[in-house]
Amino acid sequence: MQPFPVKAIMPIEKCESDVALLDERLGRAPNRPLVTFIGDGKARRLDIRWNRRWLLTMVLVWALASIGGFIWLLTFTNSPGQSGIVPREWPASSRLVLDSNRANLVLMVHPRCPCSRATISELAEIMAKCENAVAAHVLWLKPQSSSDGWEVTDLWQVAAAIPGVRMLKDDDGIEARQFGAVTSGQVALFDHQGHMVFCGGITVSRGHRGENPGRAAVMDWLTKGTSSYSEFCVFGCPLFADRGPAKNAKGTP
Amino acid sequence: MTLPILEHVARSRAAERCQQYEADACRQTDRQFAVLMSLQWLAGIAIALWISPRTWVGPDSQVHPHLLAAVFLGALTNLGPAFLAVLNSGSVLSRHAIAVGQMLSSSLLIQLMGGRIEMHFHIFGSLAFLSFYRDWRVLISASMVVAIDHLLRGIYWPMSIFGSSTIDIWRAFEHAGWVIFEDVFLLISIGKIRQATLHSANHEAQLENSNRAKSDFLAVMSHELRTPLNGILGMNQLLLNTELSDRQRQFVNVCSTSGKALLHQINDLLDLSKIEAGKLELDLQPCHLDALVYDIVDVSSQSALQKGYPLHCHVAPSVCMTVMCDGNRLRQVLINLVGNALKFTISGSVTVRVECLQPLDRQLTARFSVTDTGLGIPSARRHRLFEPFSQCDPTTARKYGGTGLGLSICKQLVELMGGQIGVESQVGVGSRFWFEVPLKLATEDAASVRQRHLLLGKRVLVIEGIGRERKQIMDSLLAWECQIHRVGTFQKALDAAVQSEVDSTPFAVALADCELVMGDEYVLLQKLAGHHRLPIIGLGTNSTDEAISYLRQLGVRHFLGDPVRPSRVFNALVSVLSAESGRRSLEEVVQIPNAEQSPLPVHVLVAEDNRINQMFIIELLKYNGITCDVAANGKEALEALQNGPYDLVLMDCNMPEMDGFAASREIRRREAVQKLPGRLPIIALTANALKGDRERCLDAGMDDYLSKPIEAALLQATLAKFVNLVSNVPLLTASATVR
Repeated sequence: MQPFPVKAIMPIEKCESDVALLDERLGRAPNRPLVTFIGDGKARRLDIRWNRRWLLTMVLVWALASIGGFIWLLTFTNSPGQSGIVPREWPASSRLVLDSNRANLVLMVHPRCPCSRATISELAEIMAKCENAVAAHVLWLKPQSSSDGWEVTDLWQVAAAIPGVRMLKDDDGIEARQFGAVTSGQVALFDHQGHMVFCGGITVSRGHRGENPGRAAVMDWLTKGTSSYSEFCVFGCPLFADRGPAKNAKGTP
Repeated sequence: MTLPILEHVARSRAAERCQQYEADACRQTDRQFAVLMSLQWLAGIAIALWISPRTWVGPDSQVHPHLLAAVFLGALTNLGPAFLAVLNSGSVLSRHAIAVGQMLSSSLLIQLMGGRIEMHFHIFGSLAFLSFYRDWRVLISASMVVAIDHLLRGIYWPMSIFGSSTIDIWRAFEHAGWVIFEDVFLLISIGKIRQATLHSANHEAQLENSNRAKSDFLAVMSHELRTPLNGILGMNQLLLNTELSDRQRQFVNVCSTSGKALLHQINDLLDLSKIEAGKLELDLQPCHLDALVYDIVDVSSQSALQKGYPLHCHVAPSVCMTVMCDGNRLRQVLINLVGNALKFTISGSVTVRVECLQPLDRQLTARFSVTDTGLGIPSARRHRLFEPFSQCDPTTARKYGGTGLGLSICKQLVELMGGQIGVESQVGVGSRFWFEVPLKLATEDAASVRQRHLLLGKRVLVIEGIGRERKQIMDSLLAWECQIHRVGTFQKALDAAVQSEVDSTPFAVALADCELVMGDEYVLLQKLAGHHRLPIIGLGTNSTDEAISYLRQLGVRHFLGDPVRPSRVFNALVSVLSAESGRRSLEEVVQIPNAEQSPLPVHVLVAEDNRINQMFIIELLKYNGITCDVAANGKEALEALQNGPYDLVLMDCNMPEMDGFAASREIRRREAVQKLPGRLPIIALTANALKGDRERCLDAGMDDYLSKPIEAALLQATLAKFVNLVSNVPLLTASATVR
């Protein structure tokens, strides 16, 4: 199949002089044709006049396709997951024990979510600066149908190395549901009295580290006791197939 | 051409060359980027597989969009431009597509790596690589992609750039600043590289101009000097063949000698110019080393005899073989060294020696040395010996003549041959000039191998008086693995022959010093040759024709005059042994000459525009009994060929209207289409002696080559190659090698 419309196909013996004549008539410097097709046992060349136009068209299509691809990728990367409804007070039925001397941070993580790698990195940043000011708990989802050790991934290993972090296996996400988490990477920050002061994610987008309002809000609460943000969107994989109750984009159930 | 025109030509050539370099750089960079972008695509897929292969919903997973982006979007951003770069390498569109694609690829990789700050260095590295195109516009394209990316993200996804939902204008400037910072330095670097390239191209164009001017000068000088000199020397030759009084003959001889000396100086000057212009190339041909050395010794021995001392020569048997070398240049060096030795030696001797150092499988290093008992060279002056226009002593030129070019040319020629040259000397004792050159052995043909086998183990009876031993011949016979039996008198030789017959180990051949033959020994010689049927090869210091003829009657089959060359001894032995064994004898046989053959008419066409040269050639041909017609240019030559049959054409290369090359090509064309019968031998006559002249003559269809000024003997020898001077039938139908 010939992908290009061909103005004239010339036998190769005639090509050289005809091509030169064509160039002369077109007032152009000699240009190499794009491709040489082999067909009918003879090598043929394309008419030069068509090559440049098709090249430019190809380049334009390529550019538009690339831009479209990037828009799709950026849209995915910057689209948050569902934010769960976090209780205003520390759940009494939770297995986790509230530390009444300092703030309490609960992070719900899907152990295999690639986007949560950035969340764990941000947690490490927070703990590096505020280890003593907060009791951090990381809940690792372990679905009922999963095998033993399913939740112990390299992400688990990285989180376990953060000083001051308590690691808890959350069988079937019972604890996560108590804290209203539906998306991996959801953080719930409670003060020493068990009042929720912040809920949401601490990454700028899916899998991306860097400055973001969520992390800044947690840091502000832990260092200054106040922040302009009380919630932020969560970027991560859904924890549950059934998703559970969730907030809409405006933060209401 | 005038100087401004030359400069303009040089500048435009420099600009063309510069463009060519830049185009080559662009094509090369295109290919490099094609490879890099292919690797980047694979790297992106590897990163996605490592960091984010699957996305999860509870216990279930599916392919992560990042992996799909790495494969498909990665292919689009990397392979698209790479494909264009390969197919349309070097074009402006390709490099801009590469620039845009590379920036998009950087963005994708940063995305896949989770926005790591370290990954941003890929952008800066890519910009640096793009500068290899030496095109500032490419950097602009790439930087624009970065700018637009940040602008759009800043508007639609500000958090991905600034980490907050509001645009931080200062951070935007900061980001832009770093990119501009790198761009500025890359632009400066591109500018410097382009300047350096243009400077280099200018320099090369100037050199080319200079070389072209040198070549033109060489060609012009070669022609302009040699043409009148050809006339002078030629007319002198003709004049010498006329009836002259002793006084007139003396004057003409002096004229000839002066002309030849002038020619020698012109040749030296032109050689030096050629070497300095890099125009000298070696013409490697099979060459018999011992024949080459002995030729020079033969000629030079006359000068030595006139001065009253001998010129010795010893060529080691291991060097007596055919090698690939430029015989003319080797001869030039040796003639120079031997000439110097003879010039500066008043008494004593001069010895030419050739030895073999480091023999390897198909090559050897030959060491040539010329030892004299001359004045010697002070050590303080030795370092200047091989410099041009430098002589040992400022008074040397006055006393001995010469320009001081000879040794300089020798050094350059030896170094061109891959060798080295040196001198050992002591004032009042003498000097030894030596040079060593590596030589490859020529492929021995089957005939040579057969001939060598013919001599293996043969018993040779050598009859030489005490104190008259010829070491060269002894060494050669040993090298050929002959069994030597030496005796001092013919009586002893006869006894040895009788004994050998009794022992059934007869001698195959005898080498006899004919200087020993006097009185009764003529009878002994006759008995040796007749009764014992022993083939005898006579050796001796140039005997008269009558003496040689008498020896022949006594049974001496061949006579070799001193100095006896190993190659001649070899040929004589093979000839004798072949005849004895009934095989076909050699073509090149050393025979006692028979009576002269009288030439039969041959008709030649001479195409030459110069009147004096015409006269000279006509006289030379007449002297050889050859008739000729004359044409003043190529056109007239073609007309003449249409009208009459010729046996040969002597074609001058430089003629007005139509030169010799064009005329020769036209003759061959007409022969090919049957407009002219057969194949006419064409001999080029040219005053130029530059690189490429031989090839030009061959390409034009000529068969041989004579350099002006034409020597009579050389002309005769060349004519004899193509036209049988004893019959009208041309000897060769295929083209012979141009010398």
